[in-house]
Amino acid sequence: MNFIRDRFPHRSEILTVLGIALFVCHSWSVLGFLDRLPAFILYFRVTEIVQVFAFMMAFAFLESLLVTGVLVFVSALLPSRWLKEGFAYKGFVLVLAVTVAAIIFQKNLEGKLPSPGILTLYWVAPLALASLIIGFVQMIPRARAILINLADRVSIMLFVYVPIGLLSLMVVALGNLL
Amino acid sequence: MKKSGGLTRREFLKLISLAPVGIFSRPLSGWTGSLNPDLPNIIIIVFDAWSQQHVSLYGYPRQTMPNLEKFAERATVYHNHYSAGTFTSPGTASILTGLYSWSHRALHLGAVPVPAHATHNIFAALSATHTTLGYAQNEFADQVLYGMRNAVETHLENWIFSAQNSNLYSAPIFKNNPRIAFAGIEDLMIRRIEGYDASLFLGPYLRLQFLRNRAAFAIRHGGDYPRGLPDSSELFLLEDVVDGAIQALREVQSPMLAYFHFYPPHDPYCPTKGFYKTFIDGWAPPRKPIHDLSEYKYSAGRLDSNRRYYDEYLASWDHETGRLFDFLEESGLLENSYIFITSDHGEMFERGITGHFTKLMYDPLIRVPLIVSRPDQTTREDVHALTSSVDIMPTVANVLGLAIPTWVEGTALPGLGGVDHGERRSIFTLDAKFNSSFAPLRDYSLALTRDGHRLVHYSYPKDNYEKYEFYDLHADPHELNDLCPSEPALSIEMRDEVLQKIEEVNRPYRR
Repeated sequence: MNFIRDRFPHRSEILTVLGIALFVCHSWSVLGFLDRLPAFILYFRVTEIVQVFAFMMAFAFLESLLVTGVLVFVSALLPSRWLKEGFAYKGFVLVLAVTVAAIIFQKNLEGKLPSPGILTLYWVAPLALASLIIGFVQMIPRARAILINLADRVSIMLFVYVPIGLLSLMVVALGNLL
Repeated sequence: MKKSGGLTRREFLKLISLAPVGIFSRPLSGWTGSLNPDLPNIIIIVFDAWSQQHVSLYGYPRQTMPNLEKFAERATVYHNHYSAGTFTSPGTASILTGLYSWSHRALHLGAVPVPAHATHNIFAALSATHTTLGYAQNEFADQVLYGMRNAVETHLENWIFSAQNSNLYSAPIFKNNPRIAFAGIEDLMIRRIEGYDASLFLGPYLRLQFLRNRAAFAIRHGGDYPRGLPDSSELFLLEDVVDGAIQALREVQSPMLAYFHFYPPHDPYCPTKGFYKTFIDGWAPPRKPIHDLSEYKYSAGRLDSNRRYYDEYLASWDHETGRLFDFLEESGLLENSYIFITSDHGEMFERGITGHFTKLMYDPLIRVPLIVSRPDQTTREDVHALTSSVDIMPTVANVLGLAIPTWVEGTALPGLGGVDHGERRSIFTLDAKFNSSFAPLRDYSLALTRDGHRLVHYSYPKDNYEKYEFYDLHADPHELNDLCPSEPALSIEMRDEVLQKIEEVNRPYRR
């Protein structure tokens, strides 16, 4: 049991990264929702719009859990000092780098399949960038403190998005399973 | 080719590919075995975005649809038939409900008839006497079918005859409210082709898988379709869709109400190899001026090219549907069925517009084919009276000896029990996609056709645009000479009628 516990990052650090993942996933979903809202208002009733919103929030919640879960799992597989130690700020940097890559990727994924080279670049570039930033931050304690502080502040969104996510999951489940 | 048990390998594979029809379609739960087998079947076949002006049966100079012409030799051809809407949702809802868009209020892509009309549709009307089957390849028409799902015993999923299935909204887990699932998933989180996914990570990942599947399928079948594969959000082959429909018709218990809404000839226009470049003939339609409301103002050259692609696709589609018509005859369905072949709206290639996403209202966009085959009909009949897609629902009730529901706004078609009013009847086509479904109509295009004339009211106060156009359809069939400035008496009379109608339909929505 101890062996397993030792492999994973500390719970508070996991929660910090989850908070960041929740923040980026939900913010992006809300942006998409607001973009489509003027059209929805024309033909959906308020209750239906709330249901669509719940759908998105539930999906974003699960997506955040998945992203965090993947990072935690990878941190357990890799040597401790690569990701587990300082998981909060390393996870923060990784989530941000992957977020930027995902946004750029979306923009370039307009109906056509990118070449394998471009696809590889989308995987490698954010990882390389994140590694560089992490390496840089590791050398400068002040930068690390700033990142941890920032990650802590962003993770406060846990208190907003977790209840919204759970409530949305309930709405979706009740609407579709009953 | 090697034959096994009378089937070629290709036929066997096609047969296997139809297994999902049985697996994914909803069961014939409502059928109790006590239906009257003497009742005729009702089969409604809709081709999406099919303009009457492009059909050789109606005098188009290009031979686009010889198989349809053959079918029409034993059917009634309606020459002045108009769609009630200019795009899928309102057009489809009007066919199925017998209501104009101002009543059913499916004014937008993704919208369905309002709750007040939730049970006012052809499926509900016939559910006690017929087994009911609905298939709409267009996902927005499929949404309309979902809106009527309580009365559709067998609802074939829209992807069922396609090569791909990337739709999540039709998954059984979302069966309670597929419309919300569609808006949440397909319309927001995972946009399969263009636009941003509201799901930051899974959206692009799933879209990538979707594009990979498309690429693989395109490589496998691309040689047969030089302009790319037909695409309704899911790639499909024309032959598979027709095969699927034939198989579904084989399996449905008579008497049936079967509704097939096929995506072709909706864009993208993708003819098979045999029809590619068939119409490079130098022919061009009369040139028409670019309209103020034309958004992209496409050049004449571009419009002519797209028209040719559309015609070639239409010919290609006709080639496949010929097998469906043959099946209807060989299976005996022609002898005991009323078969309606029509469209939800037309398509236009003029005035700077290509396609149908426009505020404009001209003949190519609103005049659609209607061919109806009665049981045992042996000769062709031609009807020139004005008819509308809202007439189909009451006609079905009429031919079955049922009372025409009080809610419908159409009348039975002449030749099928209805009165022939000639052109002395008001036919409306409404496009109000920029207007709220829950508010009085203010932003709209409304065409009124009667007495050989058409008055169109473009009302877009938000854009500070209001205009009336008035055309003499006999003297000026291409609608080139707007008579409104000279204010003929009929134009004033029709303008009053339009305004009165708007006032009447807006009354329930005024606070």
